[in-house]
Amino acid sequence: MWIKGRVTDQSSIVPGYYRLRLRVPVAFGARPGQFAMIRAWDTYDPLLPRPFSFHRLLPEKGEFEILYKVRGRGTELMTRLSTGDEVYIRGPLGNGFEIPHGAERIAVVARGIGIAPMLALAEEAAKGGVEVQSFLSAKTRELLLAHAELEKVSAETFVLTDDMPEAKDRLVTDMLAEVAAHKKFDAVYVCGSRRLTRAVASLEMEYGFRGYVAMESHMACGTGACKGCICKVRGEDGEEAYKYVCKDGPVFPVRRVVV
Amino acid sequence: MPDVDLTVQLGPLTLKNPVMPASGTFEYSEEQRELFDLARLGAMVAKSVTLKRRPGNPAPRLHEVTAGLLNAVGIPSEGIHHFIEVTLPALAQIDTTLIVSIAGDSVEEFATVARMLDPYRGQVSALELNLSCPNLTHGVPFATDEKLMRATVEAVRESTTLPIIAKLSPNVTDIVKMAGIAREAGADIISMINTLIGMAIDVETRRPVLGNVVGGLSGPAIKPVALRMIWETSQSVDIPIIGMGGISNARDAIEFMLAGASAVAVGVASFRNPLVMLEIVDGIESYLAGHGFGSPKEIVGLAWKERMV
Repeated sequence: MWIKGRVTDQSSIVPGYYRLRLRVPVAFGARPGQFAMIRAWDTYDPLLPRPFSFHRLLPEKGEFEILYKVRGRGTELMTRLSTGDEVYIRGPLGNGFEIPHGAERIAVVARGIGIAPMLALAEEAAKGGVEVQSFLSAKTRELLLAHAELEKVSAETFVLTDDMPEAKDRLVTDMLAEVAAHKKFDAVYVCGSRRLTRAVASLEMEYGFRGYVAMESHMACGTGACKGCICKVRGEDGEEAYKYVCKDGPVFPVRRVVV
Repeated sequence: MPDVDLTVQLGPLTLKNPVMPASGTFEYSEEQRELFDLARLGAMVAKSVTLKRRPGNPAPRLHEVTAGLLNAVGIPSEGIHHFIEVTLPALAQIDTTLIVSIAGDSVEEFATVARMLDPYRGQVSALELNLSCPNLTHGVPFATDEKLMRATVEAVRESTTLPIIAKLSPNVTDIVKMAGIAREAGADIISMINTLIGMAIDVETRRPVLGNVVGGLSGPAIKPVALRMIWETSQSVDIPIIGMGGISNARDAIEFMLAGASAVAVGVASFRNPLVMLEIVDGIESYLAGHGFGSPKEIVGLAWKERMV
């Protein structure tokens, strides 16, 4: 879909991080893990739309939220958006998260802005009666974005920030391993850190859950045309090949990606 | 206002209108088909296909710069067999002219791919030779070397009866000369320009941004360069030109036609606005009607033709 959306709310969570709410005029049909290309300018500088995962899906209101970090000229311009402003939206795009049929418990693992797609997933899982356990990592406690919102839909939330003394020789996935030792997870989802992605991949072998990673990349088109947003993925035969984050992902089985 | 007939004749090739995607910027995907009927395009242009499967360049492949996009994609291709078996049948369903871009690391590879596509002349209307991709790892782009370009176009000419479009590189001292060589060697049509080689450096890491170090610059930033090159080439080479390089709206497209392009191709602008090609078709039509022209060919090169009178 290629539509104009209208800003209904924007707020800064902590300096440099914003939550933007958009209203779309038609049923959007987006799923957690999918993304949209958003352009909030008519200029040639910045030029192209930017990809954002859905942070929260509110179909009953015809709205969705994105959570973004100011990284360059595009996101800098977006911080100036206010209620009523129009933006161009192409989406929903990509494959989205899969919650295995009959799943009883899942875990979400996120670092920093990697939390963005996880709230939508956790809210959908909780709505479907699936227990959610959240494992959050960030540089500082302040940068545990959307922590409160995620806590509301999580049975338990575990946090580990780089400024905590115990973070010296521990990852938040070590906490996941401790829980997984006595509770069965049907699926674990990770976003925002190569290190955590690798850790989830190795825990998948050990604990037999299905692991998924939401990959990030710069994109020009978001639809598979420009061939720009590659990641390395291992096939069934173990052979590595480039896949496109936009079209083949952004969600991949965690054991398949080479990170 | 007169009735406008948007049909254009590019040598042996007839298009229902003068607007098409630039190769490698437009995909025949379900998402795209939902946005508009691809039959409204003057032509569909497929991404370059090579003889064998090739992965393309490592990440990062993209970097946005001021009013432009640097890319170092490097022609990833599933190879000609996959193209013929899977891609071509899907593309052939679009009710418009199909142009297939071909690329290779050697003269022989170009000729072989052309030969393999020749039996599909019912579905393929023309071959565009990607002589100018700046992202090949082996040696120089063909369109920057006079001998290589001549040899490639000649070899393809001998391998196919399909119309040949030679896509030129702007990364040369004299593009008019290169266009003349392509014509002598048997090209029916010129397409120009491919991307300009550029680069970007991350000041924090102090390293080049692109995985391939250098990449091709496209987008509005290169439009004046493309326009100048078409202006010069169209005045001295007597085969039609498909003009491209930063076209973002109908006004840009009309500028290219006034400079001497018989048709236009749109690349990066479709990433900003996936409906832009339709807007360009409509915009050309209303410009022609509004200015008393009956067909696109009446304005091709007018900027220099009228100046000479």
